[in-house]
Amino acid sequence: MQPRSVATKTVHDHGRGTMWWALSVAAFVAMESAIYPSIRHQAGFQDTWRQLPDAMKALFGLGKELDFTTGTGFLQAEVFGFMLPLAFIGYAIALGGRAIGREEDRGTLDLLLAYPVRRGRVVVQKHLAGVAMTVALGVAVFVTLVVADELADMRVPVARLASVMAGVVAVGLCFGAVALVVTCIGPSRGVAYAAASVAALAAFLVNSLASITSVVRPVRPLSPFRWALGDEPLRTGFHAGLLVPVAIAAVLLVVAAWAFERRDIAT
Amino acid sequence: MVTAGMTTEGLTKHYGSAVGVEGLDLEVRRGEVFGFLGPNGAGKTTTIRLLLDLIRPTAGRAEVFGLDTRRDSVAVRRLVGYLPGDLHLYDELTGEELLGYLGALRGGVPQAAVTRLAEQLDLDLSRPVRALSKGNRQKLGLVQAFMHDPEVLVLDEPTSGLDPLVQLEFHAMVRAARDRGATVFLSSHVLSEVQEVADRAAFVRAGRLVAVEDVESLRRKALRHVHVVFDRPVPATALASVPGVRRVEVQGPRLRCLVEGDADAFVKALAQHHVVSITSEEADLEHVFLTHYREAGHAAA
Repeated sequence: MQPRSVATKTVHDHGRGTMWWALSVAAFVAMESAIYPSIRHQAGFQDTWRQLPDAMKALFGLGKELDFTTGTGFLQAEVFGFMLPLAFIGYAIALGGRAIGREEDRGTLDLLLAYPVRRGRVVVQKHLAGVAMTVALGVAVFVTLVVADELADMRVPVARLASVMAGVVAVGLCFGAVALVVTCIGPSRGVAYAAASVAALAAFLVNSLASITSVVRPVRPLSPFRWALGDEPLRTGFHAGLLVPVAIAAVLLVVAAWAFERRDIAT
Repeated sequence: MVTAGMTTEGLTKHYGSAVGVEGLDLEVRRGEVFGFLGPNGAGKTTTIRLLLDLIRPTAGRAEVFGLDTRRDSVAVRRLVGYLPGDLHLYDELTGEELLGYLGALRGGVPQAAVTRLAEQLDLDLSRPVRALSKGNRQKLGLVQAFMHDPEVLVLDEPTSGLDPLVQLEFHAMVRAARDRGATVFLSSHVLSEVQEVADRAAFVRAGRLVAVEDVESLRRKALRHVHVVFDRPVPATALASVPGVRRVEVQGPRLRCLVEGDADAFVKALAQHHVVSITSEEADLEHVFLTHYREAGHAAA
């Protein structure tokens, strides 16, 4: 495929990688779902779970009253509590850090920016291409979930799956934008990955631990997890809070474009 | 009044406490080939990257065709074909895909121009960039710089990695660009290359402008190390008095010296004797500086 714009070049660069991510995450979802029919009737599993300390449950991003034997509880515990947000955040951070960071590390940024393209537009085009791929990854996983839901008889409404997937994609986009903004402020891809990962971990812990300790409760609204997944969209459906991490991502993108217009390009 | 091709006024770039360029005042005329000469680390690449708005000046300003390189940066880059000194290309694309992509960023470039340049440089565009040698990548860099027939060419060490035959082809490309009215700004650390194609040249050292010379005075300033072997010992005095010949050292039938500028008198003096072999090598730019600009060079250092 012949790339003809900064956006299509970005898709050209990451299309294959994105396909592998989609296949891996879909395979993970399918394998997890395949276990469900065999444990739904095992009360012992649920008892063991109940005996776990609340702190541990919280660390896995799970509420105290989770019921493993329902499809909703099972998916929350096995898929949405930890693994899927982790996968999407990892993917989005990789893309966000690469958009400008990789070209600068490789030295191709000098050539690209010597062409008549506005720097801010380069940032926006590259990042929106990354957003589109993250959403596409979300859609692929969502379709897998719908099929798995049906095959494993988990009885989770499709709209609920859509709302929790939207939340997962939203947190991913938020921390991907953190990685982007760091690389746009200065040439530092490693710092960007580290900063975005630490921010994501902190936000995850604040949101999770707020349910068991009052210490972090006041700062919980600062966590994008609280807004995207804190209202348990898998049980309760869509919430407008979902737009908070998306809005944060949009603001970070504007900051990134602004900062990138103003700095020196490294050789 | 015709606006200048390129001007810099007090252009300065510091990196922390290190000086990239300091108070650079240049004026490149429209339609001329302007050489930008200096040893490695003199600030040539810094100047060029300032012109393209890849880095921002600490002080001073620059214009290309009357356009401010900061404020009108996109318009400047539309005019310019640029070859980076440290060229990095998209390894995963083929030559054709790369040029297609870069051409699209300019809003499209005639395929005929790309094909003609690739043929002129004998470059296979179907191969992936990662499979290309250093020289072939450099050719690809030249094609992308020339492909839209730019009004301004900014070329940073353009012949590095090119074999001598391709260098000749490159010189022809530069002359053709000048003949159609383009302004060419070409950096180099090799005096002879600039003599070959430039109308005028600036010497920079340690970030400062040392001198601007026309091509005639460049020729006069050329320095060559010459090593001659005669069939029998020759007295040093026979050649030491020849104009332009310096630092004559004689050991039996062997003679070493520096020849400055026009070599005619030296060659005619040699012809009085039986010459077995003669080799000649261009002196590096640092040597030229020390010979001609000792004062200015020290002031800058």
